[in-house]
Amino acid sequence: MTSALRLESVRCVLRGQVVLDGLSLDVVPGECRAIVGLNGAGKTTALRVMLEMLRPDAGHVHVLGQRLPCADRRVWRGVGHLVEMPFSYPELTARQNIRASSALHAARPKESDRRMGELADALRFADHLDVPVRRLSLGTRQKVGLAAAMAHEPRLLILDEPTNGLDPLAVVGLRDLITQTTGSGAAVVVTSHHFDELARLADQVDVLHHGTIIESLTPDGPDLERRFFDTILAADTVLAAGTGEAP
Amino acid sequence: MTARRASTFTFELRKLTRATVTRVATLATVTLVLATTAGGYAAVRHAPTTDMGQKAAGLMMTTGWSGFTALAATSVGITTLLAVGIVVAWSTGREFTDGTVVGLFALPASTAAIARAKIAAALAWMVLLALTAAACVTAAGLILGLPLDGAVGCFAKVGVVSLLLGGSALPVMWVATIGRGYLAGISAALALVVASNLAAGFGLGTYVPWVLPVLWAAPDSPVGDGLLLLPIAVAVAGAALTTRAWARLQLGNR
Repeated sequence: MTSALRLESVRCVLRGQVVLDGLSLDVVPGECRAIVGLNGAGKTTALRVMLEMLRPDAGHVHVLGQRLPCADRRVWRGVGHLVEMPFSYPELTARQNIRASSALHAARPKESDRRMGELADALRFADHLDVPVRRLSLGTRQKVGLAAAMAHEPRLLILDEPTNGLDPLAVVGLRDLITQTTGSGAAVVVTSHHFDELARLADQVDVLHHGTIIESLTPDGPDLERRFFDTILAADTVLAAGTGEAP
Repeated sequence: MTARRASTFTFELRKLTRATVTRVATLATVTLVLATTAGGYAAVRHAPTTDMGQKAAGLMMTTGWSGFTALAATSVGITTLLAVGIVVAWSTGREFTDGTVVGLFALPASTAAIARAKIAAALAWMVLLALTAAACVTAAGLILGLPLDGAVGCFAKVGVVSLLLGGSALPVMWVATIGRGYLAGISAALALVVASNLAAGFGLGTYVPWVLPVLWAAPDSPVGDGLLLLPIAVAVAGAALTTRAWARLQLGNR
């Protein structure tokens, strides 16, 4: 099966510091993959590299079968993302923002409008669609950003901390939407610090530490959070043994 | 225009026209140009011994449409340079300041295409601003008793000055990109205005692209039409530098 997203030995050095160190990742269609890590582990940099916001110093990135940088930019029609900041310009209404995102992804207006309605219902912000974003709460702006990432029905969806600011009902709605998305054959990559959420969402949880994946955890086992910390501690212990420092 | 270009241009134009900064800049430019030109001309005609009347007379140099046009060009020149500088600095720099730039990656349109759409949207607004300012000033001249003959010349000259000075503010977009925020761009716009005024004050205006259009509009100007290519070259260079900076744009690498 062709990967929806593949990273091969990606290395990224920023301001003299190695941020990604041989990062490899393979996400197949229909899969929800979570990436977890401590602050500074390289999650944001990894997401930037996946979305061509940052060019790696070494290694390759393939998106929907095309190696970056893409000769044919049409590949990005099939990608949606919410990374760092939701797509929500304050001077535009929620509807205008979502429509703009769909238009920029070259989606058909009629179909993306229908999808926008479904997403607004699922995330519970349909009443706010015609309100300028500057008047919306942070949580509702996050919902607008999620809808903007999904309204063009991407085949690869990349979400950074998607439940930030969401109320519990919207979190349940988002979970259902991600399940629907993977059910339709799309791939989803998600980062989060909420282990209970990841346990419900992800098919596989990759632990990113010092710029590389050190372990892949199954979300359905006991106490995901505990296993995550054990993995980090074990990696630091090995590292400390090598350098002679305490972990 | 391809569908991809049309969607990026529409998006940028919508953001620009819905923004408070653009609306305030448009209103302030038209109001200030109108007030200073009509007020200055009225002072020369009806209160020539007052400070304002004497200052305005110095800028007009002559009576009739030619003097009125020179006064209007001085006013529209400085106002447009500042207003356009602030608006284009904001339209570019806000993507970094507000963090919305992340949404402009991973799209069928490249970041260079996004920059071109921003420039095109800014130019469209500048044309509208120039036409509005020129029309208002010309109408004010007619209301103040200037003859119909010569009105078209005033409209054209003021419109050209406004458009050239607006276009020559485009390098500010590049500064806002390099500086990763609108404050860098606004600082550059202010620096341009101050430097241009100092240059004009010291009699060096014929060497400065941001002063030339105003001097060109003055009666018996030593500035020929050919020198107007200089502000056009500045505009083209600003657009090219901005597009190049966006084509090479990366996040998190500095």
